[in-house]
Amino acid sequence: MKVTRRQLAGALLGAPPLLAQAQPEPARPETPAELLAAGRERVRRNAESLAKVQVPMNTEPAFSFRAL
Amino acid sequence: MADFGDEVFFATITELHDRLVAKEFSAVDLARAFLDRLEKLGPRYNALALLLRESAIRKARQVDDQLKRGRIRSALQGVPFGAKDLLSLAGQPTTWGARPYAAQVFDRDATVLKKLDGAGGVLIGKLAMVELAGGGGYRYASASFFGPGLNPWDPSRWSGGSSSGSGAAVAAGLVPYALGSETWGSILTPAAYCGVTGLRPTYGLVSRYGAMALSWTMDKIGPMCRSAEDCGLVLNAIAGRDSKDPGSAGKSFYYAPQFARAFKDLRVGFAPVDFEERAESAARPDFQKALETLRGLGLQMKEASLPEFPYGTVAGLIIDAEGSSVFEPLIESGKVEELADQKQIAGLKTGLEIAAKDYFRAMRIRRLIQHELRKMFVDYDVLVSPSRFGPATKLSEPLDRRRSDRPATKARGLSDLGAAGNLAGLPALSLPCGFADGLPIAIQLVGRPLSENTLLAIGREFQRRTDWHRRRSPVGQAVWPARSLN
Repeated sequence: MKVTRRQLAGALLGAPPLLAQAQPEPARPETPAELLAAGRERVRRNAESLAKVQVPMNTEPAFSFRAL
Repeated sequence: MADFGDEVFFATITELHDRLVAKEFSAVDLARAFLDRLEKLGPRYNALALLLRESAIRKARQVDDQLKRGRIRSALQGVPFGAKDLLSLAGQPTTWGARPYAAQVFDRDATVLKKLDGAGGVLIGKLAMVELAGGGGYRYASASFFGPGLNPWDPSRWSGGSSSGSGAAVAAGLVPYALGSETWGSILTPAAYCGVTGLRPTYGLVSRYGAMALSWTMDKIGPMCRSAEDCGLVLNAIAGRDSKDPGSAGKSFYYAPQFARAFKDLRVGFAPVDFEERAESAARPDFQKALETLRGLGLQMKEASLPEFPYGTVAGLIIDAEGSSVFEPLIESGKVEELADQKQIAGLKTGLEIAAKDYFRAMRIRRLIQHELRKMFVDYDVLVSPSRFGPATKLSEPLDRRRSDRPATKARGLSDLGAAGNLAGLPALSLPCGFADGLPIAIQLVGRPLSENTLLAIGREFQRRTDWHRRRSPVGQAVWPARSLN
């Protein structure tokens, strides 16, 4: 069967993304050691994520202390 | 002794109290009927932590004496209730839902229990919960000393967490109302999954003295009931200043929805993307009807979107850091390994490794969030979104797995309203608004700090025009003769 370049491009553009289809859900950590490692990775990623937020120098943390 | 049927087990607080005052039955009869039902059916849903038969009957006798003398204290007088097992009750076990604390007994009553006792409430049982209210983050519904909370609408589904027993017990007609607690989603989630009405009060409005701490800056205690009206009555009794709680706002609350602003003057923000795209497909029709009902109340419905912030990361980091600090002795002793959920064990351990600079950064971003939300509430009086985007999860489903039919969308909408509202200490009311796949779904109304009366006024009117909150889970369909239980 002869397929033109135009037909091929059209078929590829219309198809669902094969890579996305083939990708299984990432394996979840299961063992205690894996879960601990995943937890540490989450702590690191969270810190990175928060570091991207611009915080003015005069912003006080959202808890208050009353002397009385 | 009277026979009790569904009309009693699924009655509101006001209906029960009216019937007590009319002497249709005594407080002792009512307490016995609910005690029997809770004892028999509570374990079926893993909802019961501890039955309090003797003390409940004793209290009910006192109420009967008062009623005989015409002493009416409050609408809660003589009405049974349950309390999440993170609230201490002197001389009784308080497990916090966790094996390492199974034998824990305190010598003091939580302030909220004292207040309900003073209002004439009859505490009939402590209710099961997710271990340590979920501190550290859990993967499975089974993360509880009492087993997974089973949903009365379908026991193959979760009742939600962490107030799992409170949600299930109200939904199954085992208690007329219950106390739950929320750090991030623990009242609203089980309320939504179980089809009951849940109120998360403004941070600091209700004392947490005598409650397990998970996150000092985010923990709140609130009611889970049959209606918005009932939530108002319970909040009326439990709110108020308490010098024993360092987080107490020093404010009182009087339930007076009749004095809320006229609905035509209230601007309600919503995001179509939450209801049309983010919600699971089976839930969309009833979510749309709920929006139409709100419009029909005369409220000004306006599109809204939260300001850009990593809400979930900020909330998670604060809870992890504070929770791991609270439970440092448990973690360091090694007893943390006795918890049921492996992910939670790991989460509590790694929470101790969060750097102080990151915790402070999260708390400073939280201040910015609070500031931006305050500005947002210049243009809106109330925000509305789905309480959860779909019905209760299957018990077998890991809770950290993405739901399959929920499309990823970049539009922010109000999808982070749960995290944002908890970070800013805002009150929220969850209202049952329909069904998806035969399971309840709900919307949440979120308002400014201390705007509970506005939320309750809208909730009350919404429930006058709908009957979702009156629907009974299958367990409630059989008539329940109180005598036949023995």
